[in-house]
Amino acid sequence: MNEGECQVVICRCEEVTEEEIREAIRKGARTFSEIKKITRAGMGICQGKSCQRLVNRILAEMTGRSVEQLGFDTPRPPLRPIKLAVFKGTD
Amino acid sequence: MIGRIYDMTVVGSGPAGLTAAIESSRLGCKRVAVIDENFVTGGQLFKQIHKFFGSKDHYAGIRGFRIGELLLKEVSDLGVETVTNAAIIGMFDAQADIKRLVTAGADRVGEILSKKVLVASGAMENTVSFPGWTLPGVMGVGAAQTMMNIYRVRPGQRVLVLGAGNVGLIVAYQMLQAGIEVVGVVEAMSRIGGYQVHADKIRRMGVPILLSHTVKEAIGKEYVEKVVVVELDENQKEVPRSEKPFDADALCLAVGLTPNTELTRLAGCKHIFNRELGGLVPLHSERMETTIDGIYVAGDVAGIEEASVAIDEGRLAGTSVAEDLGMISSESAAKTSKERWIRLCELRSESFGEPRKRAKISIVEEYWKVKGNQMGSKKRWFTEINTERAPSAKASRNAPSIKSNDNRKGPRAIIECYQEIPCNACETGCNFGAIKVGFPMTNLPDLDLDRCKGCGICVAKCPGLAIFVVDTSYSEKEATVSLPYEMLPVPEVGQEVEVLGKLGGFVCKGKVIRVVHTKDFDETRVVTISVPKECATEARFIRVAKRSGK
Repeated sequence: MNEGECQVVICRCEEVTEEEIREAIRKGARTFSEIKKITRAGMGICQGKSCQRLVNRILAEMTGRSVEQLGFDTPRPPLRPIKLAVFKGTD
Repeated sequence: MIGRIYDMTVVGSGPAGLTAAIESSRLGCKRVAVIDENFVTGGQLFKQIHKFFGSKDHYAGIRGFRIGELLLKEVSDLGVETVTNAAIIGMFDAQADIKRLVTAGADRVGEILSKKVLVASGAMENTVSFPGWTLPGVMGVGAAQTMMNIYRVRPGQRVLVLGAGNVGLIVAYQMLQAGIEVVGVVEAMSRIGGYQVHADKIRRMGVPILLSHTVKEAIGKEYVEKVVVVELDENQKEVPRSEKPFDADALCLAVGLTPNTELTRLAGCKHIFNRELGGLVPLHSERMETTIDGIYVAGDVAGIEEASVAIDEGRLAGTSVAEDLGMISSESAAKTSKERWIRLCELRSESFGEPRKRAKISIVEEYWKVKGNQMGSKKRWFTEINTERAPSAKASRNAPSIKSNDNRKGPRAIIECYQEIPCNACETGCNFGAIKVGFPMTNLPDLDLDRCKGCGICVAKCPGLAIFVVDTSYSEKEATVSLPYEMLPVPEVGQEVEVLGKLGGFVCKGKVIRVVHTKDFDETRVVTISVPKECATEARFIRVAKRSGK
């Protein structure tokens, strides 16, 4: 892995790089949820829709586990980012 | 919507959601609503400008957006309520008889109470990361398709596509239709994942398909200017010094889809990881009900498959909802659903479908392991259908080819369809009964030369653009080739054109002698050209020069 590749952004919403993800795994993170809590990857506006697979791939590669063993995030409401003003308009 | 309790709420208005709503209201369900978070209903259908595969019941040979129009008309005729611009942001009381869905629109949050919920939320695009993947110009192939076919904006002038599955190949062809130069399709696997007929469409237009290659890097200052492609060895490792640079201003990623399971996971339905179906999928019965009573799934959310499958799964789910609401008897529901399953097995047969069929059966079996005997009145009829029955008619598997002893005079069809894909549009399209596919529809088409009149209707009907009509007896030195043509400009009779071969190479000069187009052909023109006799088996595409001053 050269330096250029480690600078690659994995979570675009929160601008988390591949190196930051790898560092979290080296420190002991073993699930997407753990990596999310350490790095904020997956906490942005898309809620991990693009980066979850990418993070899990790095996790699988570094830990030697298959993607299906890694577990997935827990969806919680609201499932879409919405403005607080929208809640005010509840009918 | 306040105070009303819906019989059925459908989340997502793609092919699965719409057919489910149509089926359940047809069977007597009264208050049916279809909710979609997008501005318009139809899911992905309205950006599908190509003709679909399948059988007549799956609208084979009809362009996707027209199928969308047909389904929406049925929905409105049946009085189904459609709501757009409303995202489902939560589901509460999922286990109860009446479930609460929370919607968020542009300016307010609302609530829908519903006895039954069908989640037909489709899929989302996968991505891959490499240096430069965040540059403007790198996008999902679905995004490129939306730009072109909905907003009429070209995603780039010179585009590289990563991924030679059906989606990548189809959108590459649509880019060519939009006047974009496709500099190549790159595929990490050592074979083309999509249908060969889709690959042939772009190859005869000169687009190279690079197998065992992937994108190493996208380079550019403010947007993509260059894409570096690298070769992969049999272990998917980069081959040193095999980099190839491509000048491109857009890179489209067609690297698969993931089922959109947020809502079913939020509701608490049991899921299982299945690689063949695209990742985490909700367990469901043969009736498309999830492990939570009253919540159903259909289409890509239940596993990434084709639109034809989504249409049938939607109908299956719609029947189950009608049954569970007491609109039809369990016996009659089981009867139609069994037939639908047999047809789904037919769609899922042979090399493209078989792995998905096995995966789907394992999902249903897993569902029953979880639900055990607590099903009460819900009868388990799955074991009564023979899922192996469908792909059995091996007898009719004759490779379509030009028989060497065929010295018949006059035009005849040449069917270049060599893979067992679930489609019989040629059989239903032929007015003379000359093409036979039979059951299952994955059979290769068999041409009866005695019945073929060389009329060319099948040329326009084949969604794979894989049928040609050749007449080697046109004149002493010349043959004619009739080919499907969906590009602009439309050639004119008498015009001289460059004739291209199966891989896009120059074959010869040709002359346009006929251009046939009817309403039924729906913009697939059948262009007949005259070429030197020896070129007839190779001539498969024409390059029409843009006329000056036009």
